[in-house]
Amino acid sequence: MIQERATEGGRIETPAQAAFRRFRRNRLGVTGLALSFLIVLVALSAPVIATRNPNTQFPDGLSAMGGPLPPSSTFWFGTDNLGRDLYSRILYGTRTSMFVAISANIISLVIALVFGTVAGYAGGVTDTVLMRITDILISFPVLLLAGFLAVVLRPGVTVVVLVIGFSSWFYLARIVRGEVLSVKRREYIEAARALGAPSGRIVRSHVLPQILGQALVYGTLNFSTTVLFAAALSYLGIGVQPPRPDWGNMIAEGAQYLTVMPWLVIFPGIFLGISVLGFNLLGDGLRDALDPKNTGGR
Amino acid sequence: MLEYLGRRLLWSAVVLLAASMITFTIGVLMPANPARMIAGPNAPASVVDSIAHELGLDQPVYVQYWRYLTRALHGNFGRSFKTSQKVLPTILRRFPYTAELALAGLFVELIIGVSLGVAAAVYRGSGIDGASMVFVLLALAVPPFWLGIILLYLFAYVVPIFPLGGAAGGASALVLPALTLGVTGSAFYTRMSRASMLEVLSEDYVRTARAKGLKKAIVIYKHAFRNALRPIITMAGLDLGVFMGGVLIIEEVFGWPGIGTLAWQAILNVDIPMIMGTVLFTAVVIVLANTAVDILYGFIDPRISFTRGGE
Repeated sequence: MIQERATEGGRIETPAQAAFRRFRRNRLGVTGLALSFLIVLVALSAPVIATRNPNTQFPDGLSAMGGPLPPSSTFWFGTDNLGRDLYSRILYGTRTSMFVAISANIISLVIALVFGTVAGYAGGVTDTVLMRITDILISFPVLLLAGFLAVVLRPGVTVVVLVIGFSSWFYLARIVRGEVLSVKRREYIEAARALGAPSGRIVRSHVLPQILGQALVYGTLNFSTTVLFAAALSYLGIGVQPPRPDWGNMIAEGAQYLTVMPWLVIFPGIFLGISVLGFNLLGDGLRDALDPKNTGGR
Repeated sequence: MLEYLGRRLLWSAVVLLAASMITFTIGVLMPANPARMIAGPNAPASVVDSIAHELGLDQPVYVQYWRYLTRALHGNFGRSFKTSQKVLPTILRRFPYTAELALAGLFVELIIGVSLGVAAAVYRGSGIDGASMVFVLLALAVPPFWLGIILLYLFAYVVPIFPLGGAAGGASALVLPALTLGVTGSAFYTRMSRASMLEVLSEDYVRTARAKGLKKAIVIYKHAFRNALRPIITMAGLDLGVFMGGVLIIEEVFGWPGIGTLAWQAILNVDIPMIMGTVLFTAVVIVLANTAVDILYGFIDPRISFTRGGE
């Protein structure tokens, strides 16, 4: 560890600089960063780069028979069964996906941090009880539970965010707890305690900053899972509701016309796949950069 | 050893009890009056009240829970509001389909994942290794329901080899759903068996075996592969539990009549007993599978300490 920090020039690298150096050398990680950046950029600039209004049903967007049009120079990705421009809908769908995934991940990150930190720092009975609760929640069919909640609470963007946020923190909480356990035993924590610092302050100013990096990395890895989860909910009809464009509900709508117009399913699926791929690569790259020993596995 | 077994089983019982509580809470929170649903929308209030009394809905919640628990333990999950058929027999009728899909999916997962992973580890840094990494990245990124739809389009419509969904048609109907389940799941197995193989291949005893002059194939199979299998078995067990509980999204894409679609229909119909039944059944299957894996793992790997169980 210590040897690694000294660079050729004899300057001492901070851990963050070392991590950045490792990340930059990781080609896949950099590709992931570029893809994720691109997806977020598309989401932010959808109103600018979309060629048409995503919800307008264009009279010239339907064939003489009233069917959707295949990709052409006017409608880049073709149109859907209502004559809407698929390209613009997919761009706006990126917005929906990113919004859902980011909000849901903030919720699950906060829950996981609180749960994991309390369990890891308090230890003893509290730890056992809290970890047993996550054990129980992990062995529950999450999609069924989410589906049930979405039906009870009337589906929509807010419900999707809440459902995903509240059902995807279990693994992260375990990781946070593990990190807290290892940080807790370090000497500077002991020193802080010996000086009489209250537990709340030790956690806030000594423990949390140490584990935040790890938590964010696993949050990034979780991000792609949430994007897929949200799309699955939309596909089932309990996620984001039409006409609001979303990759999942576009695939579900397109699947009904699959045999005649496969592009309705293919294009949104490709965008979904690219964003999942991008965030996966980014997460893997960040993890390898922060923790060079831990590679691969699940 | 016995203590470990006992502790593990006791913990499973606690998890199941908690599962029953969550399921019961779901039933209570449902935005529907069961008595009204049974009586029908036009029934007079007195009829609804008497049905509510019959169902014990006028009792305190803990009495209702106790009643639910004791009945569930006797295998009585009530009757569906929708079809008025008994819940448990309905679930058990659907279960073989789910089990079939689960086993076939797991089989595909293991075949693809383990062979790719082992090949990637043995020929580390080669084209095979690179190709397997590309496969992992793609398999992780492809949405399972999307892959299912595309496979249906290609192999049931463009080239009509397999039926367009449903379970009629025997083994040929199983191919596409199992492939969808297996391909998307195999990414983890590829990664894991590669990592596990690489670790074992660098062990001293493997080097010794090679140094003795044993054939490479024998060393790889007898010395390395067998020892790399352990984490794969664990994950396969966990997956089997999850799959046995019904893979909703894939069953839905293919119109597969398993537990997943049954639960899903129940949710859409606000069929409370059927929802509670399927959710609890799924949880039981998952817990049983996890317990079995933990215990089996203890037998397979003597390094696991039996004194501190459940970890």
